[in-house]
Amino acid sequence: MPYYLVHAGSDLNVLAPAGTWQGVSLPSGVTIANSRRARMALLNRMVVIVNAPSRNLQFDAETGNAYLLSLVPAPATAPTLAEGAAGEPSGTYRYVVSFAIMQGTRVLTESAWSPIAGPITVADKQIDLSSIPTSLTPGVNARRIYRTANNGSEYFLVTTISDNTTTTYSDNTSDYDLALIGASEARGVPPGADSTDRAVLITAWKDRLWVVGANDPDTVHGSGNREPYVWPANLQYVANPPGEDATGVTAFMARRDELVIGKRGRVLKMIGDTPEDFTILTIAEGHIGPWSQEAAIVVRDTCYWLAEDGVYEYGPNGLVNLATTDVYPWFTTDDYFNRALWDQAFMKFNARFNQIELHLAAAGSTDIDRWVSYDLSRRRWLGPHQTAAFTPTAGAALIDSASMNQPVMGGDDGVIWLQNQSTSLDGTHSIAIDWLTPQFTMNTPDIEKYFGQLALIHGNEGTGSVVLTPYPGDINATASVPYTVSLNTDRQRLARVGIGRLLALRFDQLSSDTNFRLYGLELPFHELGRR
Amino acid sequence: MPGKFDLYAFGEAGVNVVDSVVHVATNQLRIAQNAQWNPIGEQKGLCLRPGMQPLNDEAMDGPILALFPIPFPDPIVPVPPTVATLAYIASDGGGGYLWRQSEDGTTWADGIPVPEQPTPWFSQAGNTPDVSGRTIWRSSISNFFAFDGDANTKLFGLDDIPGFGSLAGHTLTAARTGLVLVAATLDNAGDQAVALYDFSSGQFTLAGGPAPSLGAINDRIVTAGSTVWLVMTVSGYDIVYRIGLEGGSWEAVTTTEFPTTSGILSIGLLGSDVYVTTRSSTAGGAVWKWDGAEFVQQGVAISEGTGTRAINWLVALGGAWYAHYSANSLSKIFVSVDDGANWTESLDVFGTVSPSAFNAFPTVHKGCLVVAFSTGIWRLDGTWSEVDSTDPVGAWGGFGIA
Repeated sequence: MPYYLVHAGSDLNVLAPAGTWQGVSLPSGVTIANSRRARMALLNRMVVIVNAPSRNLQFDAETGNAYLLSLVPAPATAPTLAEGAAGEPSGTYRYVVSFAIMQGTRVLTESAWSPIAGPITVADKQIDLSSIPTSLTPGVNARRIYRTANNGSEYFLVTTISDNTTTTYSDNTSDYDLALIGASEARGVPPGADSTDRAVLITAWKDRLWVVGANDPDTVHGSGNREPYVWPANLQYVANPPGEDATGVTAFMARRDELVIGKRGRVLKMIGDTPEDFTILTIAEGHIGPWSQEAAIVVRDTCYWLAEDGVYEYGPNGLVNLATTDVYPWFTTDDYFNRALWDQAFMKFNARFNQIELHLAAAGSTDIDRWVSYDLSRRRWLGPHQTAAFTPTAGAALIDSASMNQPVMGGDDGVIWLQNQSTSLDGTHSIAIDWLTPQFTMNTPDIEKYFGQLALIHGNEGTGSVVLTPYPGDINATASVPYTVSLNTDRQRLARVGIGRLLALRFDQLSSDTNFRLYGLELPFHELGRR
Repeated sequence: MPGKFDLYAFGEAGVNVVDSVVHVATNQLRIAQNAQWNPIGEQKGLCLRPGMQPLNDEAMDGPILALFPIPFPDPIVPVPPTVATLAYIASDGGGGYLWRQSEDGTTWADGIPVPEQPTPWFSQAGNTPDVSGRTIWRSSISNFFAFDGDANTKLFGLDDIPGFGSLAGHTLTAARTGLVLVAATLDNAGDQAVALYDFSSGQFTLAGGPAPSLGAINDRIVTAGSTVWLVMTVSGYDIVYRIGLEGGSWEAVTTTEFPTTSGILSIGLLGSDVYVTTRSSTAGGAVWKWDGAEFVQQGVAISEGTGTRAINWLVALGGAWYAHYSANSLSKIFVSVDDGANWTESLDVFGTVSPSAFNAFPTVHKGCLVVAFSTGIWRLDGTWSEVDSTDPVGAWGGFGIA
């Protein structure tokens, strides 16, 4: 059964689908910030956690144990090389050494390589290594020795010394045997390996992790292939132009064949399959880039993100602003939402309704207390929505006990709230509706009309009511006498509405714990003429 | 001129705040708060969005800032939420019955004394199992108690196991929901028994029949699945026995003391594996794990100091093992992140408390290791800190979470 990692306040917790949870025991000296969101990615059974921890963490998905991602410091000295007894090696070789923490044969983490030892040239002789460095770091229980092939530049793993005390080793490995296991990617460390920098973004793509650091937010660092603790120094790519703004890269979105890299001022993508052909290209420029990692998601290989002037979609159909048709003012004015908090927005996918849900702050609010939903089938918006039960602080598409999509919101109350529940309550709180129609013109906006008895067709909920308030009149019409619509039947004919050129309807004050399914309405009217 | 306006695609086109009043489509809305299109038999209509319900009954300590699904089996058996609210430490107090409690593990305050306290009234070595939300304490005098953390009252006082006399020198462990396991080391008839007590029925059930030997158990007992493992001191040797909870018979899984050891200090579980910790004046304190056929030493022994060197208890937390180690004038917490292959000092208690006071009772509270030493309570939250320096008259004893 799956489970979840939850960053709550200054804690990192493990949460089961049944709702039980407990804290994750952190490595000594590591703390979790309550002012930055943890960002996580999964590679080879390890969840790597950045941004919130004081140092990058990795969490073993199979055992629930947390470790430091990187092992520092690396060996400061190289081993000493000398020709040994008769043996297999024949050629010119170089060596490097790393420290490691291993669990059986599994490497949990490994340091960067030592300075290079050599070259040493031998002919059918073993090579004796001495002064192999040992580590003062608690937990180090192995050293790993790497060697080139004859005159080579790539390093291959020769052996693992399964202790932190032995300082000598005699290498009798032939080049042929050495190459059987393939060359190792250079060991290094990412931003956030120590307190001098912090990894702020992370994602998994092409069997590698990718991060951006706080000190150089324009550079994307890649990990080793299926090795979350390996960060080759040559696997770094600049999302050009560097120094364009203070935020640099703001979001990753991993598609099948490209890693979309968002900056506020532009959108780029990395393509390629190997360190030799990874390349960053520009998709589009202008203020169309993502404002936060949490408000940038990928659904079915298509990216969606909150940008300065709307929500953008990037996928097989190109780049589209989804807001311009109907809800552009939501994103381009201060009338609906507090745009100063764009960088705190978050987005998730709700599979049951095939919609993305974008959480924003209401105008004037300092909390992310509203959300809007975009239906990917209709390509239309609903909202803004809200809840009285809590103030949302995070959202995610989790997976339930059957590994199916389960959207959730996290609250300021320390609770994870399951969406798509069968009740019509948020916890014990009513769900307040406010549905306002446009002003119906009957295609004759200049003609005064008499609106007769309004018939509503709706679902029979067995109980409860909703209030319908008509607004007959002109463009500035005020509310007329409201109707209380009983929901214990499926159709009601209401009293006569009144006179006006236009008519709008508003539904609100829905009874607590009551659904409301509105199917349609019929409204007879009589044109009275032009006044 | 009469007309009729029919609208059966209500809100079907979503919200529109762009078009003018005379241009906006009739099947759009200006506001659609908490509205939902429902493709499950309600398509083309508009309905209330579904409600939300809490996933976690007990709130976490702070706003939720990030969530990440992990598509692997949950490896952690969480502390039940109702068990993580209060941590209790009691002291025999030399008659003072000092009682400290904390909700967050950091701030501690005096608790209300328990009525009808026997003397001494606390459990040993942190053996205060939680059963159905109650922290169970036992007295070494006559009977055991269920302590309700909220009501702060004694709930039970049980005197004997039928047919086996009074419960003298018994020990406790949680067996399964609603049941507590009582291992009585000696009774009036000279027999021993391991029994289950069912709180719902108030009945004892013997497990495995009378014990084959006489000897002290001293809280060295653990339930692993449907089997109870316990350590009994027989003729100077610590023997590990297994007993089936649902029947079966006693089975000695070791016949003499372990090589190079002179005693078993504790028994517990590492995941589903049974382990013991041992002492030795020559080999040091070590951890041994049952591999299905025998106990195998894990990693290396700790041998710092002189005299009898012992690992008194072990707590597995996160990726590490925390061991309380003692030797002559030495009391430390050691940590290993590699299953005992290497041990490093985590906390030197000796420099903080009286050298003669090696009592240390651990528990895990809200994901942090909390240890009650004789003169203070320490908590490991990344780094160790003394969170309560209250000094009881006697040693702290027992540690429960309710």
